[in-house]
Amino acid sequence: MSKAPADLLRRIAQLEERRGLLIVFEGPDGSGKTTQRKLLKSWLKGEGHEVVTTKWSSSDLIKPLIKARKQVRSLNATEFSLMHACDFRHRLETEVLPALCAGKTVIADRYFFTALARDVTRGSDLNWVMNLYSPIFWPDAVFYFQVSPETSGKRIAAERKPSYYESGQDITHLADAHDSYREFIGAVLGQYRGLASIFDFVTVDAEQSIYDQHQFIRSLFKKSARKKWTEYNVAAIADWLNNRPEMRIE
Amino acid sequence: MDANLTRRQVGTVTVLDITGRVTLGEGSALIREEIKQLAVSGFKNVVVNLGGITYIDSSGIGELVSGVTTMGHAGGSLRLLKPGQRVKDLLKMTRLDTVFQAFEEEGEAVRSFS
Repeated sequence: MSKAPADLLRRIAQLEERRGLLIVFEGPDGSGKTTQRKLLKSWLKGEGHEVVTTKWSSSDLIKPLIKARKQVRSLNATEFSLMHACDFRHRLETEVLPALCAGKTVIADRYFFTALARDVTRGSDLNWVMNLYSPIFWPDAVFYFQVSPETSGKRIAAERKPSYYESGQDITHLADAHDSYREFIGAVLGQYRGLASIFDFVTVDAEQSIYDQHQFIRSLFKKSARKKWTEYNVAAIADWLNNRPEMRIE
Repeated sequence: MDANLTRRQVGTVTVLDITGRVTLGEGSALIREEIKQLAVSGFKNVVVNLGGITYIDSSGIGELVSGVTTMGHAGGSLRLLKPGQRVKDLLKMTRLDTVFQAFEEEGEAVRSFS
């Protein structure tokens, strides 16, 4: 990081002065992330923050491609990883970074940790997946919603039948989507457990009441320290600025 | 190749030789249990030799990070031996290279505790 040119570091420090926070909500389906994301968003708005939400696999450029390939079940593990990484990069560059630089708070409903957990479970090499998301753009805080595979499975089953890829049927080859989901999510949660240690997630006990979880998140949000871009995110922002000459000088 | 873990003592230092695939439900659980056992039994100086591993996933790296914390809380220390380029790359990308002390030679790793 110390090798970065001084003018780049100055520009990043300028952006740092007025930037918003990037908060990530991670966890398996059925862990209550969406409910908590909405609650945090409305609380933050009440506190005077401008808040933007970005959801996993939602890039207007890439999502239609992923959706079409999923519908015909034609994604292998490598393509699955690559397309989601493209989707992530597109949203990072066109939604997340512009919003942060405009001083808005961004809440990401899933981040690249989702890919690390799912893709490695699908058999992809961890180093290879990490490289797809490098240079890493570090968020300020990651709230990880921890539930048991049973709870996740029950909550999903109560609402809907999980889709082919969501239930991991592409790798379990089980005919029943719910059976497959239980098997798949157990392995995904094992990867999340490792990621929680590696990336120092704040773990939220997602078996608690919605109210208690929200209070916990609020209290930690107030205390959470921002990750200095000049220390953590120089390479990622340099990449982004290279493609956006209008952002380079101020 | 399934993961395998053996423990040996070099003076005051405990060396854990790990071989094979360190993944969820295989090697990572072995590491967790062994380090927990060492911490409660009063062992302070632990070197994890990764020279024989063929692959490590997030759960394996996560157990090593937890191991550093566990040993730290027990008043000890955990260091890595022969992490290999792939592990080094992972540690660098995740900024964990500042958390682990890593060595290429066993003698050097053992002497680092004195």
